[in-house]
Amino acid sequence: MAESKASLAFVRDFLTQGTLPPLPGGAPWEAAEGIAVAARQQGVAGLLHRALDSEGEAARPWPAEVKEALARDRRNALARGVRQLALAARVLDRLHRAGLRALPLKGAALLETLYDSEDHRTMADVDLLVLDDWPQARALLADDGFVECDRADHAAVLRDPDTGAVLELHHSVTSSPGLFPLDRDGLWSRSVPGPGQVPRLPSAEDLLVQLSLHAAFQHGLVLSLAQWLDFRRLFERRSLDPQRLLTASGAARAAAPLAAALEAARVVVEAPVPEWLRAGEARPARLQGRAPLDFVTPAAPDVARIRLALLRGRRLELLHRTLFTETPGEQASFLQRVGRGAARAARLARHWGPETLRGTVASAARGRPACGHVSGTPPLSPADGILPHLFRGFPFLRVTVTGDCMRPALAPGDRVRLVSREQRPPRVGDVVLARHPEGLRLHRLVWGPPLAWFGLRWRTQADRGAIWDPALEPEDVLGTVVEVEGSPGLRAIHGWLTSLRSLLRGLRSWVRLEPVE
Amino acid sequence: MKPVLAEAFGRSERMVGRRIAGEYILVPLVGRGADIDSIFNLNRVGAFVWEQLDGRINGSAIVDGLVERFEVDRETAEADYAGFIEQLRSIGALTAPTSL
Repeated sequence: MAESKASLAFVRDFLTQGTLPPLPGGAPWEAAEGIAVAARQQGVAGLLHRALDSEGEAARPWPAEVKEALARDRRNALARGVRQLALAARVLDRLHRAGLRALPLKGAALLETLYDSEDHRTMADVDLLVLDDWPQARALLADDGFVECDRADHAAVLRDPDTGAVLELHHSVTSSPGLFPLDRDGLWSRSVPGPGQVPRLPSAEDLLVQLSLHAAFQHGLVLSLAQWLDFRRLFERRSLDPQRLLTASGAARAAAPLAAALEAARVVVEAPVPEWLRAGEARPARLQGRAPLDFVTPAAPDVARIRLALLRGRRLELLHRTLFTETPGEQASFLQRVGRGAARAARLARHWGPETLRGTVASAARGRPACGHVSGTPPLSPADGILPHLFRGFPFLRVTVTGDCMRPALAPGDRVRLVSREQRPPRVGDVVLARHPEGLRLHRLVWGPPLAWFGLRWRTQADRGAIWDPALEPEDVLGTVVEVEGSPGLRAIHGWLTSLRSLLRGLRSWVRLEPVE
Repeated sequence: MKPVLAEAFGRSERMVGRRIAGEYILVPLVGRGADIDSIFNLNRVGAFVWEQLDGRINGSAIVDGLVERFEVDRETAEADYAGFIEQLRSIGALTAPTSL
């Protein structure tokens, strides 16, 4: 743990100083490996490799294997980023041709202006904010073959049939829609042409407000270093107009989240927040005395308390908009709304109860539930190689299913037990925990032992998904589900027939003999 | 003159080229199955040719550039150029040629 904290601190120092600090003495190989892992987890492996590539003397003690691994990360990040931005551009164009206004959010809104290359900052997914008719936008993309994997109260999670990339189609920047109103016409009129693939971007002022809402309200001020770096780069690379920022922040009722996020960004990455912005708000009391890494994943955010603090004077509204969310295009009677509100309250009470509070907020820090995402205790991290060690240390791991893609075998909220590959070698038909570029997925192995002939790479797929996940190396399959807690032996988790059906569905989608259902 | 030398090829919008860490990488934007996981590395000569493919410069002019820049004889340059163009076509990296 101490080593990973030291690695994280090294990466932070690197980002704040802009140059490569010297490797800690003693065991440079282990230190370099740990730092590479931390950089990868924090979405800045490409930036680290660029520094290693350009800073001759400082890079000399770094082992060649670590440099080569970072170079591979960088190439993969480039390919992924380029494709994600192409997806954003394609969907924006599709919506535009249908007369619907939409703008990119977060990574897709800033990668081409705040970073020199797509490999310098990774994105988990592509986020777009639909300003007009969200139900129509969703229907258009469904017609184009996008598969809806999950829904949150502020966005639908869709999977691109061509690339498998994940797209979040938002009708609100944050959950509890309406809490931070969208000035749709203002956002559009202030937007600017993009310099690269994405045709139109939010103004710098709107981008700052949106990043702040995302950081403070959505994630309780715990983000990856790449996400904090966005704030710093925004101040360094785009000019902000005070009056426009005031307008954007006022329209979104986002003054408190803005102040909190800027204060945290100053602490974490020394974001050069201008004096005129710092003078506007008193220093948020809850942030005082906290260390920089307290704001960086995998730190556990105090989401509930931060939300209450940010919404001082509006707490009843927070409660109302959290329980009685309104989804555009969905009509509900009073009784239905009350019923849904009660169900949501029960869910929140269960999740935020004393036993699961820690795990729930930790998973919230890593991102909203998406297609087949899982959360677990101890915290699961997609790319750090920790999981195999955890499997060795514990007889089984327990994770909570948060996606909807594996129904009826697995439902959101199910807690499943996983054992290591060594304990139960994965076979076609098993539900496995697999490491994908977009994170960990609990999906079914549809191509693997004993069928993986001719050196073909393994494949997984969601039972309700129409397309295969990206190809996997065997070592990316980390464990196998052996039990759904609470229903031992009752639920058919593993199944050749289900696997065959998924495989054929994926194959049909791949060759496009007929439209995907 | 070989037909391929008289034609001017352009870069497909479905393929994006980027230079990182001394490498030139082509990224296909769309594909199917394993294709979408692929990226292509170009060497210095390949990167030079790729950057010339703007749909207006024909193969012969690009070969002239190769001969001048990389100190290679014309016959070798022509053969390498033709082979490279064939590879790029096979991965859908080029637009339809125009004869100039």
